[in-house]
Amino acid sequence: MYKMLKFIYSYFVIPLWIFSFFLTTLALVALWINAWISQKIFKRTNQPLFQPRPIFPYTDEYADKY
Amino acid sequence: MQINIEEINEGIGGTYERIAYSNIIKRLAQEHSCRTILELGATFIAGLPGFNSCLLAQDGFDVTVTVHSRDFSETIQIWKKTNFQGKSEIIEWNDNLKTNFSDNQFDLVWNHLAFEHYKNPLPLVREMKRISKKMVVNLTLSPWNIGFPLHWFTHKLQGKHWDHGYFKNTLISTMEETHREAGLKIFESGGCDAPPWMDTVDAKMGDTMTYFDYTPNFVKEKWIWNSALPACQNHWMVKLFWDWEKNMPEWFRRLTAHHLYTASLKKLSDNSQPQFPREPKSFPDNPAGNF
Repeated sequence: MYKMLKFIYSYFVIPLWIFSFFLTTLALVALWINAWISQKIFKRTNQPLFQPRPIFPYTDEYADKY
Repeated sequence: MQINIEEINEGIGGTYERIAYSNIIKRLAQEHSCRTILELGATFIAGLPGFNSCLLAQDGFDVTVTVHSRDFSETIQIWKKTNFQGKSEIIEWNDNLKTNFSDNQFDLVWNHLAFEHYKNPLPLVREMKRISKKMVVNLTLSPWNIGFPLHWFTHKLQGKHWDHGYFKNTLISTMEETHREAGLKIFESGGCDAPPWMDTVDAKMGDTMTYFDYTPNFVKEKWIWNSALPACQNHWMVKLFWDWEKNMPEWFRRLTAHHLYTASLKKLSDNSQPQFPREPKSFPDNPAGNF
């Protein structure tokens, strides 16, 4: 019985997840528009705590050998 | 620069990501009695340098992190501001393929978003295997999450060099094949970090990765997220999304997760038989692990 309920819940999560994904996508678009207006029209700037940079700083020294 | 841990804002995405993958590492470490953990080649995730192992240190594991010179001094600054119970050591080291560590020095060796950056990741996995006593774990950026192709398209549109690795090497199949070639015994593969939003990868919005930075102060000041803070770890949203993630079907998790992982053992013992088809056995109940 517990396994059956767990299985039903696992598939019940999917529509909840999709609905939430839709909402967060709308929020991301709204935040992007807000950032664009703030920068381009109101000339606001933002200084992050750490300067943005590529995720991976290492080199692949053997890349040419393969 | 003086930094307080409370001032470090990773956004909810960065916070959830760190909690999610740390939960996986912590469960694997617990299942195989791993106490000493090495993160070989820390990366710049969610706007923070070298902070990927913070929750492992917070939960009392003995953590060693190798960090590239580019990020080393800032990594030291952040770690000094935290009050973690486990031993932690940050080492400046620029070559992930060759290290000075001795054979079998750490119980578990892992890294996050390193594997896919090597054209041939076998030397990386071999080095991880050499210095690991029990387990090797690789995490990659998932190409199945909708944010991945969108981010790729943005790079193309802006004429920016693609700096997120080789597509083929982001896949579980490549990780498993490489682990097998290195002589490791694959124990488990899966997806992790599957909240209901797309992975923005390192997309900046007006030069920032914390997207509330351009909102009014009364909003911005309330929307501070840091994975090391208990208030964030126990936030209802983190708990809810982790509950969904741990209960959703494995195929859906792999499809929507921001990251894929493969964990392998150097030797299979009697009580650590691989499962078929190598799906995670269980997920921790608490978002922050609490092991």
